Amino acid sequence: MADPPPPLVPHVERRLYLVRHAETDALTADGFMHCADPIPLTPRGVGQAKALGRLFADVPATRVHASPMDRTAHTARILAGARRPVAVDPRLREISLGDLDGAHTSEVFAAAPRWLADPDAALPGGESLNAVVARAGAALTDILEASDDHHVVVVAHGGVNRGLIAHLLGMRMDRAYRIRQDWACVNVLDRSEGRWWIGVLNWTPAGVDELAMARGALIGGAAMRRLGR
Amino acid sequence: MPLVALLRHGEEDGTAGGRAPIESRSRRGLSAAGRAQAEAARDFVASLDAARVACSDRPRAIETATIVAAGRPVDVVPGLNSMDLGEWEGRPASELPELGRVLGDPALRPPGGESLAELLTRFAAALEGALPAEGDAIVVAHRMTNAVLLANLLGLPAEDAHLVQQDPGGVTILAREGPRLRVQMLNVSPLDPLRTRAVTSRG
Repeated sequence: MADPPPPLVPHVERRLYLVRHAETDALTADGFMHCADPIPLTPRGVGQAKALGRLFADVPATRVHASPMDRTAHTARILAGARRPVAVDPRLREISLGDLDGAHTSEVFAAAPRWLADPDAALPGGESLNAVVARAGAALTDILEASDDHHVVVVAHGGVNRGLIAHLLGMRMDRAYRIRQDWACVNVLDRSEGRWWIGVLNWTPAGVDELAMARGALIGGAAMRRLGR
Repeated sequence: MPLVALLRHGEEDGTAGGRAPIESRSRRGLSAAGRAQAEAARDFVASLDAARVACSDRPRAIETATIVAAGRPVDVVPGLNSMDLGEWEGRPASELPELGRVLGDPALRPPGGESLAELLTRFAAALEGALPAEGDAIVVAHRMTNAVLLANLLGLPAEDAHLVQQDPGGVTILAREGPRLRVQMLNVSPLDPLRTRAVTSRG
């Protein structure tokens, strides 16, 4: 008898909801990039987090895990609702922009032209994507091991989520920035038979409308086009 | 940046809870749940300005596309069809010990059927041909057609295509940037976006 066929519908042993924080104004319209706190949610972001809270009320998770940064902790606090605690882990923090935090995107990419294309590239004083995946991946492993929850909810960041999804799926890390992550988006990953399966990527309570209106005004989009990828 | 809504057809009649025989060429249409999924998908993609709606020639895809099209004409494109299973068509998966190997090796094919690599080539070409010169599009196809394409777009090897889940009536949004397709949103079930109703038993 050869290997049994892989079921096309996985038997889900564990479900991970990986959420990106709601809207901030960290990347301003005039192109300056901020990562370090303080970066609050915008009023619209608070509304997005409330929409997530209504949706996650039915998800049987006893706590919500989050990066300790303002935007993720606040999103997680609203998402969790009154009855669930938020557990923060500093290893889920966003990729560090180092000395260039607050600089204009043109300055950032002049300093490190391959920053988004090369997972080993770091900004001066900052981190590479591979370094982020190493610490955030370790945090996720610890969270999954320590939790009895079948459904695990983690609120993190655009860079962290892209790196984690690529890492968990076994994608090439230099493709991680192909994964789109909008404000307050939800990714669903299912653990089955030793692998992570993609359930959902980048769903937001706003649905398609925002995508259809934005038409390419995505974070990193202009930078990716500049890199010809 | 034109958008493409790539759907898997809604639940097929008589397949709730899983289908024992593997049937690519089934002539059955949608179940009541499948029609509800298609209606929810229609509402979900309502903000797209679809210049074309295309689907495979399987009845479950045509019925889904007709609902999602909301009165627009539907073009049937046989190149969008589900995987050609050759001599395995209609047989229970339990009788096909080689099925797992074929789905785990893009070079292998079922006797008289097509491999995952062939499926990807055939489907990607049909999809490209089905897209309009301008404007958005809606395309209704199948679990493995979509999975092999999406795995390729995401940079997953073809043998891992089955890791890309496609729920019945699930909606994936792609952006067209010149000849490139980029995944914007993947496998959203508008009736159950967090998939809390999907089977999640433990142990």
